Amino acid sequence: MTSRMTSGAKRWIVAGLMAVAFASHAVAEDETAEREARWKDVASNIFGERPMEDGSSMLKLIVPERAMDAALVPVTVELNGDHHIVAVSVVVDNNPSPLAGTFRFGPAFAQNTLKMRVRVNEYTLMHAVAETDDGKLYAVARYVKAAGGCSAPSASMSNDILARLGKMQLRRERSLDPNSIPAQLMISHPNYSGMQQNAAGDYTPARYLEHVSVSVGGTKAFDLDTGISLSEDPAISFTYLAKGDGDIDVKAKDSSDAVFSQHFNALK
Amino acid sequence: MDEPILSRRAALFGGMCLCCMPALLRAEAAGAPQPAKTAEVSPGIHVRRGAVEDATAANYDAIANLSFIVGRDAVAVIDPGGSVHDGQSLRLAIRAVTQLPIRYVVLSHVHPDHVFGAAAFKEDGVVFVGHAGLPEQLASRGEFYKSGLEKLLGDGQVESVVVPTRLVRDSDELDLGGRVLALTAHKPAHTVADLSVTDKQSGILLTGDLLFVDRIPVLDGDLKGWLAQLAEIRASGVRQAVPGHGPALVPWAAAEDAQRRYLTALLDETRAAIAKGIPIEEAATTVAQSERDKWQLFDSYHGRNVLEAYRRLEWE
Repeated sequence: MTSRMTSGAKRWIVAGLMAVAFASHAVAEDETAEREARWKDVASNIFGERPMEDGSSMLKLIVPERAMDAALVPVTVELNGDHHIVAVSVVVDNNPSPLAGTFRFGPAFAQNTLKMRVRVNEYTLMHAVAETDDGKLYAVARYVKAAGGCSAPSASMSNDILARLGKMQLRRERSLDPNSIPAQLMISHPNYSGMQQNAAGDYTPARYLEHVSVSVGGTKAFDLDTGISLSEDPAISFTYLAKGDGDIDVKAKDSSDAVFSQHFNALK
Repeated sequence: MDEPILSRRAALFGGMCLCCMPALLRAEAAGAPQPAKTAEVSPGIHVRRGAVEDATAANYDAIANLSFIVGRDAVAVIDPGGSVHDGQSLRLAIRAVTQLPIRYVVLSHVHPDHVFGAAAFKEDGVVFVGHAGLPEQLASRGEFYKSGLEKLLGDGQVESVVVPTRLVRDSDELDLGGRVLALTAHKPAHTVADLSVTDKQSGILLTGDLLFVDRIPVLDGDLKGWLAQLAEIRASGVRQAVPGHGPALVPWAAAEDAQRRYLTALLDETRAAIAKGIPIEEAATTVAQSERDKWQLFDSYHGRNVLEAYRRLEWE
């Protein structure tokens, strides 16, 4: 227990991160049962009572076992295999709002790798759930040790954030296939969770991105429905197919109904 | 009921029942604070070296360097410790040296290992001193830090943060009677509200966490700003410093060189990673690895420093 406490405690000192040192837990089976019960509950809230199969043949979820910063936990979902995946959801089971995001893919999405950065509020299972074109659901899970990510104070000073609210960047890489372009979309937004205190000690009201849509040459790459589990300044990596003129349009809307949009010219 | 009570006590307490133990021993058994071990690094400047560990229940978060300076009329504390227990230990150490009133407690910055001992000095009627930006930092982070520390030390073991009332916007002085401390409020560096203290008599600079020695620096403010503040401090001609973590007293130049080398590697290599499209999670394990064997607790904090640098630099 001591070593667990030490390593669990190691980084909480800095802002934005709170690793919890638990007293020795109940036996492992109880923990497993508890996690499974939680997932059943969360999954039925998000997906109804639809059956869910093991997704390891088509999905790989990569997260750090112990996060360095609970407010910024990098998540990678690799999509592979021959199945046609129409949607992917990322779920942080024990977060107050577990659904970090649901991506619904369009013809301009290259079925490849998705990345995002999430908040983790306590030790938790994370799930990636894929929906295939026949309507079936497939899930994979990983356990993540991190805590405090949703209540960690905003890492930026509020005047910095508001000055660039809604600004976007699209970073693109050249790849061997000029029509299949890896990209990272970054949207400047505090994504306030409602659990963060401000400089007056009050809780900053929740204000977060609800919806992001990306199209290429007028063809949908994906629509994303999201919420407070995404980290501040959301960053989403994906690969798109250069449809039409190859220009990218991004539209985003937050929970205060502010709309942000940006046009990016095709990669020359 | 056959079991004789005495023998059970003997098994539990090594032959002594608690009620028979002398008061001091009993206090020690309950973890009551003992006078902190301090070193007088220069006449009237006493430093308690923090443990090179993460905060745990066993060390009461006594991981930062704490100092007190004794003048003719009064005492000033620079960083009261990481918990009430830690602060009480420091207070006992002060009382073992002098009975002069403790007049000022300076809070160098917002981090819990430097501020949660403040409650131990409230009864002394001291003036709490901090950077003008510190109250806002404490307001947004204090409860978050408190709940984290309580998870380590136990419920009820952590008192709320003490908010400084004497605020320093640029510079100020504290007079201890024949001994003046010069306070400098820094621009965002280690955190966004760092305050340093110079003892004008000796020229020694008490840096707070603007300077880490041996222990890996933690970035929680502004990486480029931190490098700029180091340059300003160097230009001021300081020769010796009490760092926030590390030995009780160090020559400034060599310590600054080491920290500058680390921060520069962090800055340059994170920028390069962003330019090359290396993802943040990969950068966290590849940037500035040349520094790995040069710092204590590198694996515990370095990756987070990279995340912090990366997510800011990608918007620069």
